[in-house]
Amino acid sequence: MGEVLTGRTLENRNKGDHTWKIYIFPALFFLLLVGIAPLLYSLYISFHQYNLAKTQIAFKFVGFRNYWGLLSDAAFWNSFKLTIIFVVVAISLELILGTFLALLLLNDIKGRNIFRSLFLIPMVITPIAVGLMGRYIFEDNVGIVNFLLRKLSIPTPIWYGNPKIALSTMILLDIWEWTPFIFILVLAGLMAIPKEYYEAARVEGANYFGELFRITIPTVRNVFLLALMIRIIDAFKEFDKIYIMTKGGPDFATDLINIRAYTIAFKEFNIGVASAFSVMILILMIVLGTVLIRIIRKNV
Amino acid sequence: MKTPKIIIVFKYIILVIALIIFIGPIIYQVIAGFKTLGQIYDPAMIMSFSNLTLDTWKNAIIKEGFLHYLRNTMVTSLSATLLVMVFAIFAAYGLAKLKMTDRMRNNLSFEFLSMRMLPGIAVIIPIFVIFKKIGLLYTIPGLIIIYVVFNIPFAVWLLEGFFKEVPNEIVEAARIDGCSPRQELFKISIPLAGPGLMSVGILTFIFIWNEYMFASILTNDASRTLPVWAAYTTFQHYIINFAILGVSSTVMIVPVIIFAMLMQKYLVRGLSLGALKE
Repeated sequence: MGEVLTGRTLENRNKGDHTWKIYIFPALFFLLLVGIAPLLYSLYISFHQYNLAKTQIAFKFVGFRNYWGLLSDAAFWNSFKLTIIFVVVAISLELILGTFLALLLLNDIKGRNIFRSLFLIPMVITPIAVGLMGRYIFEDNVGIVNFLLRKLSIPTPIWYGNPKIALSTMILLDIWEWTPFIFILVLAGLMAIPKEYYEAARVEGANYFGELFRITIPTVRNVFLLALMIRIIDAFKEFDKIYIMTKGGPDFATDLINIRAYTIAFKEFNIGVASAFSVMILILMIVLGTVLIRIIRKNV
Repeated sequence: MKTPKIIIVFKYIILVIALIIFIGPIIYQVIAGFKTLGQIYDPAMIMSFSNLTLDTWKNAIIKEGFLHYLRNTMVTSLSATLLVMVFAIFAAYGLAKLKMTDRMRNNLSFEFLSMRMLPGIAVIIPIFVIFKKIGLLYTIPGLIIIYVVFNIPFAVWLLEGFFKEVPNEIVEAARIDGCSPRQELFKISIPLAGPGLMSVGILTFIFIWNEYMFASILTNDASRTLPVWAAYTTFQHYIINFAILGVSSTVMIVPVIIFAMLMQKYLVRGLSLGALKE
């Protein structure tokens, strides 16, 4: 860890010891004030009955009632179940597809940079535009997906109006949006592997799969971990594109935790219950984040 | 050892199919903005792209007040990005180049990173109540405050990496020549880390430009940003208006695509939290 000493005189050096506070504290203070302090207020509200829409309901202390209410609410558990399915299925498929594309582009491909720039697009465009795109292309009658399926004489599903299929459609859209992310990261990791590794392996007579499992995958393991961490955190926060497509429906089929909490807070204005919900989401994220950062710090 | 030709051809076929899947829908969506509703809702004309019109665009600009929302988004994104950069440059420089104990450095660095995990929904519920009480609800400054807070952690984390790459020898030499840390930062470190700073700025701008959830809660008719307007205007009538969907999506995504293409080199690095260099 290279530390910069200001040197010169003892007086100056002592002064230098505290300079960092002036540099770091404004950002930190702002984060604590607007990012963390409201959480304490949220915790306080979560023990109260508080509805912004119905002013006849008094703001009063109710203990753990909001929490018990949620824990005995089927919609609450449903939202966690759906979120976990969404996160696990979407991210697994993104990892597989993204890695596959990266391996394809690694060697012998002219125009790699053009392909790569174009594959970047889905993950940088506005998530609301992705959701709107989903609304349009998966439309029953005039969407291009069903149009193509009809041309190929494949039965056309109702993509987001059918409770049995809606979550899969959301996963499909998420894969469309985020496979490029895995692809870009893995490709960057792969390109950093020195060519000599492969030459040495070939001298020893390794075949393609020998190289894949003994050199390629172990070397990009850290990249996988990193990609996984970033994706898991973001997937748990998923809101925009699903909310714009289904608002959590039909029949709660795509009602992820963020959408559920948002609905309770800003459609029902049941701020007390929503605060209790968000406190539980926060605890989940703290546990998850701590575990993930530990793993990353140990490995990367 | 050369890969057989047949395999290379096969690779190209898969890549082109992938390209159609990843880019095709976006182009299709953009074209919808130039079709009439009659064309869009006629299943026989799904693949017909003749007789394109500018009517929906004119309508969006004249009747729907699109320019007003574009202005809101520009003002919000630019000022929030600027503020993020000011806070983050100082914090990141402190973390990367100023004297403190290693333990403190690690803890602070960890603190900034961990705040990236903060779930927005948990913060926005109390913020909504607080903003309502102090009169910041539905105002652009209120929205800017939230964007600044939620984008500082990421910016600090990235900038710290860029500042660490500035050689310590140069920094030390400047200090010995009598530069204060502030002079050193502005005269040496910022110019040397310039491209990195640029990329953090652009990424932050894109994140804010794209944001929907906070904006949907913290804005009203007057202070709406483009994503909120797009969601509102597409669904305001009984049937979804796919033509206006095309227009509103296009105005949101075109600037982002241009930025992404220009900053491609830095994007990988930014999105991988600075771990991968390109």
